[in-house]
Formats: sequence, structure tokens, C-alpha cells
Amino acid sequence: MIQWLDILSSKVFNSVDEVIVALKNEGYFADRALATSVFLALKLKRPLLLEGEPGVGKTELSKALARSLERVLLRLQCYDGLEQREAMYEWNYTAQLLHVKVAQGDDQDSVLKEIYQRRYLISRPLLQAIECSKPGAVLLIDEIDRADEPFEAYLLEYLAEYQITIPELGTIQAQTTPITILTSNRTRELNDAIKRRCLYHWLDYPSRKRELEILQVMLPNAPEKLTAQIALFISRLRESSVREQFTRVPGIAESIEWAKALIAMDTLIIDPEIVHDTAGILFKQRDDISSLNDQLVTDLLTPEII
Amino acid sequence: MQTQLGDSRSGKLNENLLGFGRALRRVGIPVDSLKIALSLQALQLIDIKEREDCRAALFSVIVGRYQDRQVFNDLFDLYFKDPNLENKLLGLMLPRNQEKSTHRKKNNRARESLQLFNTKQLNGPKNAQKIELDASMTFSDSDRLKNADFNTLSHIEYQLVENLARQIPLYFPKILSRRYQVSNVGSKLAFQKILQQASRLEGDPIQIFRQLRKKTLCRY
Repeated sequence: MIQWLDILSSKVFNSVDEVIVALKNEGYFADRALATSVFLALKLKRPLLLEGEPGVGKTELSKALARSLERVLLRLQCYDGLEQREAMYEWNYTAQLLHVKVAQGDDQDSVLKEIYQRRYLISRPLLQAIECSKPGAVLLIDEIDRADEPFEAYLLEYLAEYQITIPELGTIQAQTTPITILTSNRTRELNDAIKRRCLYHWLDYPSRKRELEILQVMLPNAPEKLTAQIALFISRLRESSVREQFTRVPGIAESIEWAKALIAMDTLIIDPEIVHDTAGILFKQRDDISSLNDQLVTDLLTPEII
Repeated sequence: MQTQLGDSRSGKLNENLLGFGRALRRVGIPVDSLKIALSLQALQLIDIKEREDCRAALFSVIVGRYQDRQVFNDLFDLYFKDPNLENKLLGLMLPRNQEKSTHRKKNNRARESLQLFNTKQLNGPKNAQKIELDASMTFSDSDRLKNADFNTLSHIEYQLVENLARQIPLYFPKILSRRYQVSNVGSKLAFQKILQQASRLEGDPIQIFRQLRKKTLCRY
């Protein structure tokens, strides 16, 4: 009876369309291909590896998914030098030493057994995800490409079996399969062993229409003409002919930030002058800012002929 | 038995997926049997009538590299041909307006992988004895590739590029580790060793041990 109640209470998606709608309700506009990947990751209980340029919404997807499924979001931010004890578990050595002090005079073997108990184990995101009670958790392993290559090996058992083996305690298996999303900016190629265990999706820059929808949802008070002009400007920047001139073109995050800045400056229509004044929001490289010359800005701002 | 996937007794989908997997392998995308099984499972979960959903599902399951995206899409288009192709061909016979061609350059790798597959099937042992003489002028591999367009390389040319790229000597010496400078900060505490020793001495006194510094693998 309890199990049935659990099943009924936990949110599930029955089709790709349901995923699109659920994410849209949380303010995330997923295209059909992305929604299909998410749907399959949920149904096949496989981790999802998202790759893409920075600022295209990889991390936001995990947040929106966690909200829509009413699950806890656990985040493991990867960095150079990340170790197993920061990602999986760590023994509370201070408490263990105190235990040893208190147990002075006891049998050495029994003391050794006592200090390796569950209560002296500190859970880190991976173990937390495994131990999370129903409806489970969404685990975001963010920017995995920033972590050292050997660290990937620690993840293999978790990604394949949703379990962690602690030599002193044994294997801990997930009661509810956590939804796992890995993101990478492709600064380096990930190990094949990781990729084999995951579903893969390349998250591209959104289409102009989708970007306009995102801007309208994120900034409901923004003038329609302004958001349309921003979407047009950004989409033209991302066109292959223009794109080559820049090290990195703005992502969705940058276009939202730009829109916020333009609203804060009471802008109604974008002109070349304001583009130059606010170029630092769109581009983070000095060369990119200088590449944005007057002629290019004028071309990008030219209204469409309908 | 009529299912969502059609007649499951004929096993058409299985055959098609296996063939598609073999073609992908031929173009250099690694596909193992697990991926084929998983892609079959994935197709059963989505609406198979939606061509783009199938494409996204197969891509998600089979492909693991950004570089393989274009080849996968080309091969998908070639292998799972548009069911409305006949109508489109009929439409071509009608008078039409002159439009700008929006077709991008197709990748030869995908087309060639299917051609290889077909010729292998057609050429049986009958043609095994056939000797062909190629009297055309030949160039060295590097000369052939000097003016080649990377986006339209054939499967064999692609392998050639890979082999040549492997032969290029690296300008910089290979650094085996990033940690090549000893930190000024003292090494970390070896808690496990401290704990073991403390349990032996019953916690009195607690000896402090430090982790050994990692050996530097750099040659500098």
C-alpha cells in the first residue's frame, strides 16, 4: 500500500511533450531533441551528459528538472584537484580520534570496528544522492571537464550501478535512482568509460524564436520591441559568417544579462552607441569587444525586411 | 504481433538498427552491441512515427562526441530515407520558382559507408578473381590531403588524416603531471595513519603523521 502511494505521489513523465510542458512551466524552454534526451534519461535510468558552449542552459536544465519533479537538487561543482572525499564520502577523523580516546583500555580490534561506523561517515553529494529518500534527488555534476582525469574513475561505479563501495562498510545501493546530469564545456575530451555509461546531448545555442520566448518569460516587464531586437541582434551574432570574428559568442545567460542592463538603462530601442557602451556584458574578451566595430553593429541592427 | 513498433515477428526494426550501427562503425563512430540494445529500448519508449524524435533518441544513445554529430545526421538521413521522398520527387516534375539552394555540402563519409556495405553484399566470391589495374596518376598521402576540404572527406581520406596526424611530432615535450612545483605549505595530515596508530596506543599520545608528498613526474 505504501509503495503504491509512493508511486502515485512521485511525478513521472509519460511522453516527450510532457517533459517540454513541465520544463516550460519552470521557465525553461527545451527544444524537442533535448526533451527527448531528458525523457530517455528518466525512463532508461541513465545519467545524461550535456555538452555545449558556456551559457546555453546546461545547469539551468538540472534546476528546472529538479523543480518540476519536486526533487532535491544536489550539486557537485567540479574543479581541478577535486578528490574523492569531497565528492563521495569522508570519515570524520576528529570524532573517530575522540572515540579512540574514550575507549582507552578496550580491545584494539573492537575499537577499530567501532570507529568505522556509519555515524562517523560524512556524506558528500554522491552519497547524499544515493541515500536520498523518495522521491529521490537530482544530482548535478557540473563542469566535469574541469576535474582531473583520474577523478572520473571514481564516478564509474556510481554512474553504472548507482552504488558506492566503502571498503570499511561495504556497498551502499541507491533505494531510489537519482537523476544524474553531468555537464561539460568540452575544455577536454572525457573518458570513453564515462561516455559509455551516459546518454549524450549536445546543447546548441537556441533559435531566435526560442531565445525570444526565454527573454519574454525571464523579463516579463521588458518592452516587446526591445526583446525582439535583442533576439535578432544575438541570433545574427551567432550566424556562422559573423561568429568567426569572435572568440566566443554570447550565450543565453549573456543575452538575459544584456536585456536586464538595457532595461535598467531605460532603453526602448537599441542603437550602435548603446551596444558599444554595454558590449562588456556580451563579450568577456577584449579582442571580441574591439571586433564589434561600427559597421558590424549597424549591420546587425538593421531591421528585417518582411 | 502488431505493436507500437509494427510487426515484431518480422524484426525489421532490429535489422535496421543493426545495419545502421554497422554503417556508423564504418564511418568511425564507435557503436557496441550494448548501444544497439539500448537504442532499441529507447525507440520503444518514444513515438516512432516522429522522425526527429527517433533521430534525437538514437543520437542520445549512440553518439558520445560532438565531432560525430554531422556524420551521424548525414548517415541518419541517408539510411532512414524520408517516406515522403516519392511525393517530393513527383513535386520536382512540376514547374517551380527559381530558389537559392540551401543545401550544405554533404559529408562523403556517410555516403561511402553505405556504398561499401552495398558493394560487399553484391560482390560475392564470383568476382574474387577479378584483377583491376589502376593506371591513374598517384600522389603521396600528404599531397592529396593538402587541398582537401575537411568537411567533405571520404572515409578513407579521414583515416589517412588520422594516421598522418599521429605521425606529427609534438613540439612541446610531454608533461606527465601538472603538479611540478612543491608547495610551500606543509603536506596534509594522514588521518588514517594517525587513527591506526592512535588505536594501537589507545589514543595516548596522539602522534601526528603527514602524507607523503606526491612525486613529481615532470622532467623539469
